[in-house]
Amino acid sequence: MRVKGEIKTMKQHILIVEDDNVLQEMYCEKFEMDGFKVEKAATGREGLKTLEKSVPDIILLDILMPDMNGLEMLKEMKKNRDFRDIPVILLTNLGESKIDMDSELSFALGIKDYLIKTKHTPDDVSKRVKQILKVEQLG
Amino acid sequence: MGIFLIFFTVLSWAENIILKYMLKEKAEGISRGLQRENAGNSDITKLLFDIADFDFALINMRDSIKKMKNLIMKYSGASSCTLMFLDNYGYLWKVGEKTTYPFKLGEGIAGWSAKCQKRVFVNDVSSDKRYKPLYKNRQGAMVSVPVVKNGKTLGIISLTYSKEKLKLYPPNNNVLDIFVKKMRVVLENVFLYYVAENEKNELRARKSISKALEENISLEEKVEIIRKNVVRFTSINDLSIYLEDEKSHEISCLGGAGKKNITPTLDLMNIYFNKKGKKHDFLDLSEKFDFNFITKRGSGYITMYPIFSKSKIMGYILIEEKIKNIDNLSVLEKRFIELASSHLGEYLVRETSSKKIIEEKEKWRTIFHNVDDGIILLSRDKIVIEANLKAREILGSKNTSLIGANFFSLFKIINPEVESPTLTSIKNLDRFKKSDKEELEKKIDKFFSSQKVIRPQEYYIQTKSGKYWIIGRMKTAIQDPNSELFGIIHIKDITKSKEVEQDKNEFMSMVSHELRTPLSAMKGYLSMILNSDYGKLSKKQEKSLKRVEESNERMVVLVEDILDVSRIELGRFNLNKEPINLSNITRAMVRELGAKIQEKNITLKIQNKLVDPCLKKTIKNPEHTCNDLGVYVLADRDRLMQILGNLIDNAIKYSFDGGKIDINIKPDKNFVEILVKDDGVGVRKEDQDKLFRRFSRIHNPLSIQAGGTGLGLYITKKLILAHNGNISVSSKQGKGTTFSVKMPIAKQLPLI
Repeated sequence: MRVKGEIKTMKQHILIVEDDNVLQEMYCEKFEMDGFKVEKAATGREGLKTLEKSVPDIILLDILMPDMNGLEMLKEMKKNRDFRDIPVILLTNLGESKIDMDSELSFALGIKDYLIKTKHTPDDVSKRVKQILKVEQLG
Repeated sequence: MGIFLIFFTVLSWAENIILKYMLKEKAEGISRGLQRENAGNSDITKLLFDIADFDFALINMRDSIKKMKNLIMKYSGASSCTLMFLDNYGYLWKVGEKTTYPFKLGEGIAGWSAKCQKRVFVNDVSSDKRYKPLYKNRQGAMVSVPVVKNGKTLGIISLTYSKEKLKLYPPNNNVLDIFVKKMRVVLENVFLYYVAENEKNELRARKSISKALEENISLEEKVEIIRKNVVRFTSINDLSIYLEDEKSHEISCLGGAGKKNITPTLDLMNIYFNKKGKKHDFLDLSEKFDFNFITKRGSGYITMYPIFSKSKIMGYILIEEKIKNIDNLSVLEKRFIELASSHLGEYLVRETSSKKIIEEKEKWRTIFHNVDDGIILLSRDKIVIEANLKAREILGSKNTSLIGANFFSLFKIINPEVESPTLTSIKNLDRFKKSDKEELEKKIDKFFSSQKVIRPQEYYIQTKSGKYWIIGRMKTAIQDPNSELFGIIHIKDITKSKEVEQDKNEFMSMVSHELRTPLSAMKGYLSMILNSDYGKLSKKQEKSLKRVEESNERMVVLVEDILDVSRIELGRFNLNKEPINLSNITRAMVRELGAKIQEKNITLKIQNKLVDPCLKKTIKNPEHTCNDLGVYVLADRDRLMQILGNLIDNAIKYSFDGGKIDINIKPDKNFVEILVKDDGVGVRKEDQDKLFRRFSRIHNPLSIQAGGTGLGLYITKKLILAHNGNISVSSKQGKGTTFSVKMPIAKQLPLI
């Protein structure tokens, strides 16, 4: 309980970029429940705008989105020094059931993990986010 | 020939001189004798002087001959005189007159006299049956005097006497002998002149025929020139030239008198031309041959010369005369007609063959340009030699020929993924960096040095006319060191099918995305509710929601499977093959399915005979680890997991509670056999084939609720086949099933 309290006082900051309303709402609910300060965006472009206002500790990023997709947003982020090092979790429903990605390339783009919406529950996602943040803090 | 002419001229000149003096001396005696015989005859002395004064001049032959004739008629008393010379071929020709048919040696009075070298005198010719009368209705006499020198007949002097003249001046042998002597000289000259003239004429006629055949004029005009020359050179009055039309096979007359007439068919003519292609004469056709076309025209003499084109009769030269003059033609003349026909035949062969070459060329050109693929011919230094229309369309524009351009200056290779990045594009980004133009150029350089075929490969290119998806391949052309042509590049425009494919893929990913999003939301909220994030649930609520969750999960699997199937059918699943430790991955898969195994209380064993003794342990503890060497297969990691997952999951599904599953890994030389054996419900023999079909649900009598999509084994089999592996099944109903999978063994171990 003590540890939980500490996190609460620090209020981890997460940005959820997801174009589907229901899913966006769902992940928001989950992370708010878990004590995160949540920002949300529906497209890559919106996501970038949100970044300008406040820099999150971690980003949950959808890939297929209208206007600007997740990968394009990632590329844009890499151009800005302030956003370059933000850890990113790709949250996708893309064709491949099991995504394998070139680890070097993923590392270069700051991608920490891929999670698949139909496979991983909000709880799984939340757990993974917390895990990554723990590692980041230690590092 | 010239030397002989001079020689004879000199001879004749010398003889003239001698004659002049000798005859002058003898003249008195002879004239006395003559006067005795024929008191009323002209003065012989005068004749001898006249003869001595007569100089035969070749240059003015016609006048000379005329003078000679006048002399003869004056002194012999004949009413008409014909001088004839005998050619090399045995024909008697009238000298100094327009060419007419000659007399054949031995025929007619003149011919007979020339042959037997005897003077023939026919009084009252009408009564003589040996010699056909020349003047039927007139009574008179004919004298034919051969001119012979050293046993060789040079010609004849032919005289006719009318009734009145015969009475007044009967033929006088002494007078005629004087003329014979003179005529020897004259005819020798005439003969030489004739030979030379004939040769000149023939040459001229042949030249104009050859020229006509080469000139750029119509066939009718050519035929007309041939006809005119034959008529000019020979003594026939006219001829017609018939040719067969190449396509319609109809015979038509292209020139000459025959134009108005009926045309005999070639088939008919073939019967009458003998095999050697010699001419054929038709005598009095109306009676002898049942030719409809002839009977209408009455009787006549027809001679036909076939026109050969490569041993095939293409037509004929037809000579039709009222009287049978053909036999009177000299060998030279006949030879000339045959020559004209063979010239025409050769021309026709040339024409048709060159026409064929042009047609052939045109045919290939048409094919070349109308092929729907681009074809480019390259020289050794990669310069375009020729490009067809489609290649022009892709690489430049329809109006630019591309010839002379460097092949590599015509396009740029572009990365299609740059324009619409997807997840795979990130995966392949560095791969695309390599496969740019330089890579292709290197490949082509290699091709030019090693002359290996460049296998068909897809490229996305940017040219002047736009962006194209192409399949490009290259082949070496005919290996002729002198040939400019070196390589043939073949470009297949697949832009449209690529677009369709992309549309389809986009559609598929769209559908999958659209289906998955609500499923994700359902799954997410359900998990949260079941996780008591929204407060505690009653047992009933939890039970019901668990069912909803299961159904949702089935739906997720179904969507995945359907997408897998469509991907397989589109041939669009990439395999990133690498050496994978089969033992480890199997254990991982078993661990993943640990919950289900435990649920059914199944005992699962993995046996890896060769390398891993510690794997013989029963896997009861999912956290079990064993540092083994393992067996490596060459496979795509995710797909291999899918294969193993499906097989083990199946085994669990169709096992009874407390059943046994054995997994056996047996490496061989090239393959590893993976046996997944259960002691579950089994499959009837007749159903075993159906197992690997799409949407096949096999009725099982124990009706275990398996809840599959009916796609699992179909996908599994397709994936195994894509790995160059194989799968088979053996089963007994009620006793269990064994699946055997063979996967290729990895020849190299991973670096790590």
